[in-house]
Amino acid sequence: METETLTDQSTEARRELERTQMLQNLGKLTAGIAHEINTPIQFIGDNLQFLSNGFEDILSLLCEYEKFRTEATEAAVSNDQHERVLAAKVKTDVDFIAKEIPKAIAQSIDGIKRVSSMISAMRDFSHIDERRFAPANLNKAIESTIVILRNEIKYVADVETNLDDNLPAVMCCIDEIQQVFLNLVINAAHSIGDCHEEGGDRGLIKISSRIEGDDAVFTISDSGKGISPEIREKIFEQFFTTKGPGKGTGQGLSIVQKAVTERHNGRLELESAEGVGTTFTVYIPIEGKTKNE
Amino acid sequence: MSEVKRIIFVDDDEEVLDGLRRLLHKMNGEWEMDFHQNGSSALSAMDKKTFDIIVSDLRMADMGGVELLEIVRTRHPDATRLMLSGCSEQPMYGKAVSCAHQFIAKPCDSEQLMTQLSRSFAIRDRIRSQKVAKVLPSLRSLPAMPAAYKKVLDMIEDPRCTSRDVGQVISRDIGMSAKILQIVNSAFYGPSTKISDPVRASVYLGIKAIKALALTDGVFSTLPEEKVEEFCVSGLQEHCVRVGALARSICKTQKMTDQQQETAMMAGILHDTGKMILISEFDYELAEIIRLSRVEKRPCHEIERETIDLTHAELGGCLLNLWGLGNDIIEAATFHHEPAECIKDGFSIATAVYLANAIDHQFCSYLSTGWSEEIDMSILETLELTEQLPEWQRVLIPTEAEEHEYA
Repeated sequence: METETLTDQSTEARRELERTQMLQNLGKLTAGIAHEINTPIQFIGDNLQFLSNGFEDILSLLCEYEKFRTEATEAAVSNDQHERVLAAKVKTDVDFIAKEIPKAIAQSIDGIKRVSSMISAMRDFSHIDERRFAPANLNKAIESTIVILRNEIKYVADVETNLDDNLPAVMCCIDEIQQVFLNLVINAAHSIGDCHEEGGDRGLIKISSRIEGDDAVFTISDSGKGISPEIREKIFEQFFTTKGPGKGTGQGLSIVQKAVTERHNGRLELESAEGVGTTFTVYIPIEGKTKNE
Repeated sequence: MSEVKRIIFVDDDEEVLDGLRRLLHKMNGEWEMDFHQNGSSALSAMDKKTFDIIVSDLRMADMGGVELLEIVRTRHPDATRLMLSGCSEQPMYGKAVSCAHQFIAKPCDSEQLMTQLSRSFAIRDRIRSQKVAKVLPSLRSLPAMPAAYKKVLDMIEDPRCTSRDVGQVISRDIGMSAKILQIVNSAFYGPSTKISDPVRASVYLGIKAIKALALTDGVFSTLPEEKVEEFCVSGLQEHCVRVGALARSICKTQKMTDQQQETAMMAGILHDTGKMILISEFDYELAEIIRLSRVEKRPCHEIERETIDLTHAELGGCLLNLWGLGNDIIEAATFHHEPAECIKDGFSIATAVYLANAIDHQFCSYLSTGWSEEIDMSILETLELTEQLPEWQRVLIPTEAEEHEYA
């Protein structure tokens, strides 16, 4: 009895720690998320202001034209009247406005889409504490992860996705799987970022999904610095980190492993070569965990 | 200064550049504008043409905004450097603060941007002196007193010290006060109203941020000891602190609000910002100006206008303006030798600082000051304040204990 209580307590404590780490992770991302929202809002605002000014100018030009038209029907048009309309046209800069209006509208619509996709991705991350097994669309989870991490990635790497549209809904605890993707993609970005800081080229993160037997399989590979054989054994240990002080908590991969193997009865594979990159492959049973149930 | 006003915009997001280009198209007759998607292309454009203002994004692939603006600072020191950024990451603050004159937070509305740009051009027009125009925008910081800076460094390592304690030390130093007000009033931290008290600024920023800033190269700097001695800078600093306290007392007798009194205090402390710039950048000229002032019995600012085409008052006003401090502080610094300007709109903070400065020069003098003018009594008559003067003068007469300390 006593041992059970202790086990319960320690499980509870571990979960508490995981939750804290998850929130910490998200907290660190808020600056990047804000940046990704601020940028489109900036140009949407500028475009709207331009459209508003342009609309006003065009309306007043239209008024001039209308006046000119009534005058023209009443009597012969004088040179003065003609000059006046011409001056109004030059002042309005019709060519510029006509050329820019369609682009301003298209870019603003695109900007709104950027903001919306960010907000919907944030919504996907906001149910972080449900912790129950339910069928979930994991391709969408990957896409949300990429959107949320856009600001962390875009300065150092491109992302290439190859997601299998036939992937069925996977019975899983979505908040934990989302956390797995988040941690793996952040690690990929950081690994490339380290190379980039040392003068390396822009990197590539490849993410794919496929079905293999009873499993949904996800690979996340980066062209980063790779993991040396000496530390490969240690990377799943809690509190192990190669990141500088204040940068990593050493919990990311330990949480990934626990979530995949213990909680979902899945598998985690790692392939890495120094100077070439790292690939993590995650296997999750589509029907949910079969063991211990 | 070039006749056409030129601005260069740098942002890695093409859509942001397009938006700006459209928005500012109506200014085409007055401004010439270039738009670049990366730092290197902007730099090569700047090598070919002179630009008055550069507006750069902070986070960009390849060359970041900080790196870009640092290069611009050395290659084109007279350009005004603004940062337009949607980034709010703390580690970047310190570096960004030392390379940009001001920050505009994305998203900003068109009016805010236009005001900022027009204001930057207006400041540039005021810097008539070619000599100064080459130096002023390249200044990253205003030098602090070595002792005060050291004290701040000690305090931030001391776990018992609060941000208020550090703020109090900063508030008695011209250089560090000006810098911390620039930082706290920038869009990065973005309080909605201007903060004009370094103590409040420190509390607002918090000890962690102050520590990060103090340790970032270029945020604070110090004067070499020889200059401190040659120009008796400690005397100048004490003078400024007295003027600040007196300006506050004067505002109090005029029933101004607490906030105005606080601003008057800071305006007084910063009124001689220009002198600090002269000491740090034009020491050779300054020594000659002081000598001539004493020999010819003419105030320094007259001779400054003849030798460097700009008085220390205007010079200080320009820097504080460039750094985006509040208007009251800028006016007080700019006009503290032009009483007529100080009473244009009746009694103001600028009036208080003018009076406080004149009274202080009457009663106290420090070693390396030049010849001082008398108080312009006509402005007191205009404002019907002549009877108040003795009361204000009394504030400065030291108490017995203080006299003991001075001796």
